[in-house]
Amino acid sequence: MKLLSGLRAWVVQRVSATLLLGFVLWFAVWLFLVPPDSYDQWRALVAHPTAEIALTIFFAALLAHAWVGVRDIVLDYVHWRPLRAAILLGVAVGLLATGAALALAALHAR
Amino acid sequence: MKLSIYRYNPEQDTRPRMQSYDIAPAPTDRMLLDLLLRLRETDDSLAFRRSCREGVCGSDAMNINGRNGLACITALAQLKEPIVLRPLPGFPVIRDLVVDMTQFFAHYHSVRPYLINNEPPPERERPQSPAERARLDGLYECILCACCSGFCPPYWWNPDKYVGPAGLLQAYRFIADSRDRATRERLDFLDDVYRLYRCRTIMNCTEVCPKHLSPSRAIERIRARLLGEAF
Repeated sequence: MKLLSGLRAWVVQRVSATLLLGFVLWFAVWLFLVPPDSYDQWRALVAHPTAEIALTIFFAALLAHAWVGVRDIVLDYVHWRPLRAAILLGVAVGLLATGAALALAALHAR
Repeated sequence: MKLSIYRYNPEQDTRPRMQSYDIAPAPTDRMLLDLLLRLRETDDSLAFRRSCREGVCGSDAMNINGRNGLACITALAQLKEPIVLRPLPGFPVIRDLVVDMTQFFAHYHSVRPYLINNEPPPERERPQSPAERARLDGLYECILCACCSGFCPPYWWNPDKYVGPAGLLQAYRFIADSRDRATRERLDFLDDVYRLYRCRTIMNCTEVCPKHLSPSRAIERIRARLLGEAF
């Protein structure tokens, strides 16, 4: 696979979409079967090892999916290269900062 | 019948306009092209392309009531009035309904739409099994009318970089050909963020193809081949 191939982004988009869909369905079923009715129960639910792994995969897939999607929109509509580079840089920084904030929040919650 | 036709002559007009016509079709006028030819008897300034009159040459592709199609195989009876005719969307207009196809054919040539096989030529021909030949059905029939590319939003957004559905259908026609030996090079060429992967699977191309072909399926198969080659 080429480093800057279209295939890589396409695969990331498809795989992440499948993971997101899987998580949403799994989470909906879980909430339906074991509905938490207090903050402590929510914390316990999220702190469950299975939920931790699932949430980590979910947010990683969400960030990757968002990157490919926004990048596609920018490639389609923004043709002036300096503006395109600036927008992509801003999006990348924003997504990385979101990922870092999520990781810090997860560590803080432990 | 009432028509509203896009008119633009860059040598005379500062901007395009829609011109209204009201013309009675003759009893023998069955298709839109018949009516356009009759209209031109009274207004010979109207420009449009046409040749075979039977859906084979692809010359008279245009936007008919908001949908791309060939005037020669579009029955008048199925059209709502006023019939609104515009040039193929996304293509530079040369005059009235005539568009510049230079970029379109540049993309077509970029996929090398011919058999590449440097093996010594056989005495008679390169044979194919019936199954290998059947794989080309739905691919080789393309007449390059550009109805698909002219109805494809990603092609409007990046007409200089995205090969477009017509070119990609032709690319897959040779990737799928058992006699071709340049599959790897063809796939490498298409594995590009613009050439192939601007496709959003909107499927307008398949929806409007006057030959009932499916460029979107061909594009999916190219992606599947690329995926298979990568892993």
